[in-house]
Amino acid sequence: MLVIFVAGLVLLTGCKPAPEISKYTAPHEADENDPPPDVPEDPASGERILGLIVPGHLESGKPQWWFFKMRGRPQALGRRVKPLEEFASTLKMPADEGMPTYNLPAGWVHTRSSNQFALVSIRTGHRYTPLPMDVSKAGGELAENVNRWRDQVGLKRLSVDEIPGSVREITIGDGTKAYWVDITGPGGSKPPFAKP
Amino acid sequence: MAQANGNHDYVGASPPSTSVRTGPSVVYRILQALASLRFTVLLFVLTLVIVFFGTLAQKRDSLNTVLDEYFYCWLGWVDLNLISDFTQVFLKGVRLYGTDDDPGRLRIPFPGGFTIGWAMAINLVAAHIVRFKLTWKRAGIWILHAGVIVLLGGEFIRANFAIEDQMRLSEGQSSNYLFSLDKSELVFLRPAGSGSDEIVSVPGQMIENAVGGPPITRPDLPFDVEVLQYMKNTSDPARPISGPVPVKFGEKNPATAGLGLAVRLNAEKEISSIKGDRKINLPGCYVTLRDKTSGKAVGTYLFGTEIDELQPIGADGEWRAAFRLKRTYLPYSIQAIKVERINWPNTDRPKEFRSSVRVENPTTQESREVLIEMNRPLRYEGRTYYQSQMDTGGPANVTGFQVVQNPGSHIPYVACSLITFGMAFHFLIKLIDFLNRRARR
Repeated sequence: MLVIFVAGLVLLTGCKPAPEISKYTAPHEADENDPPPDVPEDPASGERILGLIVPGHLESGKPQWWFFKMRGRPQALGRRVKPLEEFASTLKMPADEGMPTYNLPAGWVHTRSSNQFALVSIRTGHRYTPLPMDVSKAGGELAENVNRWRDQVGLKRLSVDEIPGSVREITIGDGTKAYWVDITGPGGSKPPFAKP
Repeated sequence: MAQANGNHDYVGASPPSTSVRTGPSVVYRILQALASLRFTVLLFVLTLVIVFFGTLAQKRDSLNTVLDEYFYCWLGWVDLNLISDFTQVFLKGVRLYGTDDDPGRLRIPFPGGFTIGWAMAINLVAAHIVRFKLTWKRAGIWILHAGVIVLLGGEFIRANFAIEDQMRLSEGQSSNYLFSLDKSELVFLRPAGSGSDEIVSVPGQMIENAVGGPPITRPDLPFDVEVLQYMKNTSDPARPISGPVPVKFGEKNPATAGLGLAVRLNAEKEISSIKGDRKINLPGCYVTLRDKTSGKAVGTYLFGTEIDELQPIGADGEWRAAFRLKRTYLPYSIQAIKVERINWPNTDRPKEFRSSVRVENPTTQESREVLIEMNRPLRYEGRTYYQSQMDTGGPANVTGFQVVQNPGSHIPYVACSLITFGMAFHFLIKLIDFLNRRARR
């Protein structure tokens, strides 16, 4: 009995194998298809707004503008220029008060609205460094809206005559003429009462 | 009556035997020492001590850490300062040393659970060889003690060979792998053709042990793995959602490639088994991969189980890598067809959790639907799938199975049956003995 017991003890002692590197094959795992994440940029590099301003349906004879806006650091937005061009080429505006239709570039996904004005938000970056493109709608003149964006990146306002030179006219998917805005400034719009 | 005369000097009718009476053999004397009742008492005291400290240790450490450091080991390291945690609760906040946040350690070597368990088994067997006689009257005790030894052996087998994994599926989803809650792995993958990946898996424990040491090298990998930092846990139990944090500009960052350039993981305290709110430790690490031929660094990457994403390695991206909870791939798949939580009428209290799953096994051409319920597990190919989790609050119902593979799963039943039978048998013999004596009076 003792012999069996000791044999059992010897057999079982140290049976737990030490962790070892193993190699095997398994079904292929697809990538997440997320764009690469944005690396942190020097705040001194400023702030950039990249977006589209597209005229929508008319209200009281004036167009309602659709805005497709991304705001962030210059290099991060630089990587989104081509996807935005791709997005614009598929963009179709509604005839009435409906929503525009479009195809999302690879890696872009709809997400929760990032602010109260956004009708839709689209995540344009990696999920760990999401940079939303907000889709919103407002009235007013083109110059007012461009200057509002210029305020936000800390650029001086332009006159109505100067505005066409500061934006690029493009044609979107349904043939509508739209405005491509790409502006970089020192950053951070300040409330009017803030110290200079 | 003793006789003596002048012809001989012995007492009695015949001379005494000339052979020298020898003492017990060395083996027998060793067995006598091992069978000592004092030794038994000492072992019970040691058991009490290690169970006491092992229980207290669960306040700060995870269950698996406690099992490894106190019970599933030959030499344990008991932290005497855990008494402070005890006095803090039962003596109105009195601590002998340290604070609740920074308790300090006073570790001493102590016989681990394996040592005490085996010593008990040896003590019991030795006692039967030396002291107990194999008679019908003692048969119950023999059976009972055999049951105790089987129970100890069963626990030893469980500690060494049992594997507990998890499977999590949302409704409609199919999976062909299990994942561990307490083991991790750094995996390197590259396409192997015909829809499969070649995977080289480095155990998380090996990564942890390699911090600051020589690089991990493997002929199958074109690079060596140098571990700069290992974080046992990166999940904060106080926060409902934790995860990668964006790196700020100018912040010191060991990563030079991959996701680590953009995000970092915070090293957090190990999640305690009683305070962890059912969370688990999610480890992470910074590793530098060095090209084997040139010795040049391919990059320093951040990997972590919270970053459940394959990162391309190097410029060509042939290899991808991720640090994740250790996976075990199955030769079959399980698909969740319907995941149900049934409440008691007019309440939110769950009455039942159940999952209808489909088992698809291409090897056996099997495709069948099975219902897994709380006390009705699926037993398939040596594994038992228990319904253990259910999340019905999200967009899709999610079910979780605890998957157990234990070669000694039936041993406790055998042991308890033996113990019960032994006790009943012993009681019966004593009863018959008592009735016989009373009848004789």
